[in-house]
Amino acid sequence: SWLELSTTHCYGNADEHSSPLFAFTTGVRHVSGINIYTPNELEVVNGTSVRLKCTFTSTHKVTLQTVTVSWNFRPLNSGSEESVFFYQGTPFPPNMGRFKDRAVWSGDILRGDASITLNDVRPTFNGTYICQVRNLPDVHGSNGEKVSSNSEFYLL
Amino acid sequence: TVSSILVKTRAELHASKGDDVTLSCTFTSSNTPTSKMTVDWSYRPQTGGPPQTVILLIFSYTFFHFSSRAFPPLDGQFTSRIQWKGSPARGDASISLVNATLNDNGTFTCSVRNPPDVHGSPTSHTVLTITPKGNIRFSDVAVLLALILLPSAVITVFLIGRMICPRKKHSKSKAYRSPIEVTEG
Repeated sequence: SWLELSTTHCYGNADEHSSPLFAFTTGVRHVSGINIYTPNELEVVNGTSVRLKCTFTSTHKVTLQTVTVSWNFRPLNSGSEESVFFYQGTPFPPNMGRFKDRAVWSGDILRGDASITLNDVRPTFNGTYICQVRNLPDVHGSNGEKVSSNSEFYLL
Repeated sequence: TVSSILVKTRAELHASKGDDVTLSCTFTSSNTPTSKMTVDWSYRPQTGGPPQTVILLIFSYTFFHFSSRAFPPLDGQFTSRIQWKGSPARGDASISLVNATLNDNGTFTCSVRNPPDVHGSPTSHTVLTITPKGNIRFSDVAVLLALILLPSAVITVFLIGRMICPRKKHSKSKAYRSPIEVTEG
């Protein structure tokens, strides 16, 4: 379930895996990948603002040229995904749909922060928010899995 | 016009174990592709679970030509099995999955972003179904032989046999006896 996925464990040491090449030549264990953290759930009052927090760590250097951030939204009881926000070098707020003029960048890439803020929250904002971060060449997540993290969002 | 991108894939794909499967993905972008474009394929198994990256591509544009740089997975089920088949200039972001296995059943998502065209429908997905290599066709032929050709052959041989070797006894008994007797006189 989505809630199980969006816990804030630290993936680091527990998920080491050895790259076959390194194991053969030097026996060195190699940890690589990106880890993404979001809160499990958020409850927000209709009409107020909420910061969707997403933080990340990467084994490779984080720069403005290597990072892309993609926020997607899945409504309750629906499989379809909608683009909420995109960042590649510069923020790209939504220019259409329910989040138009309501989603702004509130992150700090160099600090590993990919958060956005939703203003004037509507009942149609109920659902799952997925934060996906890439930091070239870290695109595969720890152990090749889990390249995004998500939050469930409930409107009061 | 509002800057947007529209990505399309086939909703479903069916293939057999061992096939090379083309996962097609096309896109229409308000602006022409630039070197900021990215193509991102991910996969979620049929059995459920978190999405995995299948391949990520970034591009550079020099001398009127796009060249791509791929970031395939270093381990996992797709290592060395993904080939880039797309072309940014042609609006094509397709990939090929080599030597399909039954483990590849699941949903493949194609995501294309061409800044500033990053909103609209930047993702689309295909549900892939891989089935074992068929013995099915062979047994269809066997059924055809058994139920149709074989009885037909038997009947044909029987009829030809009757034509070649007619039995006298048989023909006599079948002679028609008219109720009207012809009398001479």
